[in-house]
Amino acid sequence: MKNKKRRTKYLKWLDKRNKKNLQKRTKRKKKPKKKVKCLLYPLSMPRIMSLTENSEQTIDYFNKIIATVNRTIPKNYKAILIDATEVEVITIDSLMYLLAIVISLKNVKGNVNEFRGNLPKNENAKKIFKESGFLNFVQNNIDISNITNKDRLQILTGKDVDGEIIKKLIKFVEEHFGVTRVSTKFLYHMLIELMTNTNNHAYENDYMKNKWYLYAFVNENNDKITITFLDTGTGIPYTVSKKWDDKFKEMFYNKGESYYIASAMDGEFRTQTQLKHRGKGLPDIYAHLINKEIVNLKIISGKGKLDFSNAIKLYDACINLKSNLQGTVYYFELEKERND
Amino acid sequence: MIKIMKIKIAVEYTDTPGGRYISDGPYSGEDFRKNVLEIKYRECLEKHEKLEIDFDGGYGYGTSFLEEAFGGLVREGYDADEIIENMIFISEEENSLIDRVRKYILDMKVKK
Repeated sequence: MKNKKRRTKYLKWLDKRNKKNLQKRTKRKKKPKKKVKCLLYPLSMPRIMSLTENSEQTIDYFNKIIATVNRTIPKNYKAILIDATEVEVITIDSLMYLLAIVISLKNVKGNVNEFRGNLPKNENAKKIFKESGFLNFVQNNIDISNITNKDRLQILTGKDVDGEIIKKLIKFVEEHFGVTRVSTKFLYHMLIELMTNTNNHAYENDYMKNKWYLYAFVNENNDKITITFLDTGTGIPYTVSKKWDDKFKEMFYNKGESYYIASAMDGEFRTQTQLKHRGKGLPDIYAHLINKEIVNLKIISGKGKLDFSNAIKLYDACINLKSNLQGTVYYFELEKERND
Repeated sequence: MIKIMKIKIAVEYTDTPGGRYISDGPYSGEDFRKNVLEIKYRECLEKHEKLEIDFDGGYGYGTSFLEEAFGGLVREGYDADEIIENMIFISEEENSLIDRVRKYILDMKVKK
């Protein structure tokens, strides 16, 4: 009896051991995972990245990015590489526009679902990337904790007309120029109108939703503030030409889109369409330029550019571009001596 | 003696007026007209009082805000000449503002 019990126990143990050994022998070994490289579709920036100073090449570059996002690139590419390695000069308008493209990416159907980027080798250009606030909006592992912002209002963006944002900029001007709220009212007017235009007149383009971007910077001597404003609507020439009657279209058709912008600043086309109560924003900006409250105004929209850095008369500032910019960039300067 | 009802925009409404339409964002000209200006103006008309609008104290006014608020009153059916007669505008910080507001009101009269 005792032997029978022992034998049963032994057989149970043997069975368990055999099963365990069988499991060990037949267990599937996991194959090591192959590291898959994330292929980046490189798009190299031009040496001078500036909508205001190198309009054609810079616009071409942005259109190349937009075209790449909009078409189906080979599936093994997972991201677009914004290659800024060789950039020597970069201005804020370009960074703002690049930001607008990156932010808008999610609106587009395509197999590219992210951007990667690198910083320029050139130290001055690298500094602008870091200090502009651009990197706050994009995913990065670059330490920007030591950046001081006293000399600039980093890139701000929004969709609504936001008086509180403009108030922030006004206070920035007051602090650096030592002027009062009353003397900066013209600036409030201008920026409110630009924001209003983003919502009202700037029809949505195919790629980017209407948003505005704003940036301000004071120079070392604390006597000049540069302000850059970008809206990502369709642009002034398209908006203006939609409202024209045939007579007006004929007048400006062959002159190029810069003339469309100039006519909007002149307020001419509005009287043609009998919408006298609308479209006062751009003429007001021109009035501030004439009164020398702002200087060095530049506007780029569609295939048109107005550059008042050397021009006094409205239509003398017209420059027609070959490349089309979706949206509108405004650049202007405030001089301390004029704003005291 | 005619009584005067007062609105000081920077204190009673906002010191950062916005754009034209309510859809543009906060403190628009349309919002100011519908929820402040038109209500007080109607009250003034009923009571045969004048309405004083004080524009001082704020950061500024966009053209669109002013035009929609005041030009918009005419578009809503109020008589332009009556508005000019019954409203008193104060703007010591910005000389040209009163002329601009009057122009927006009278431009609508011409259009009608």
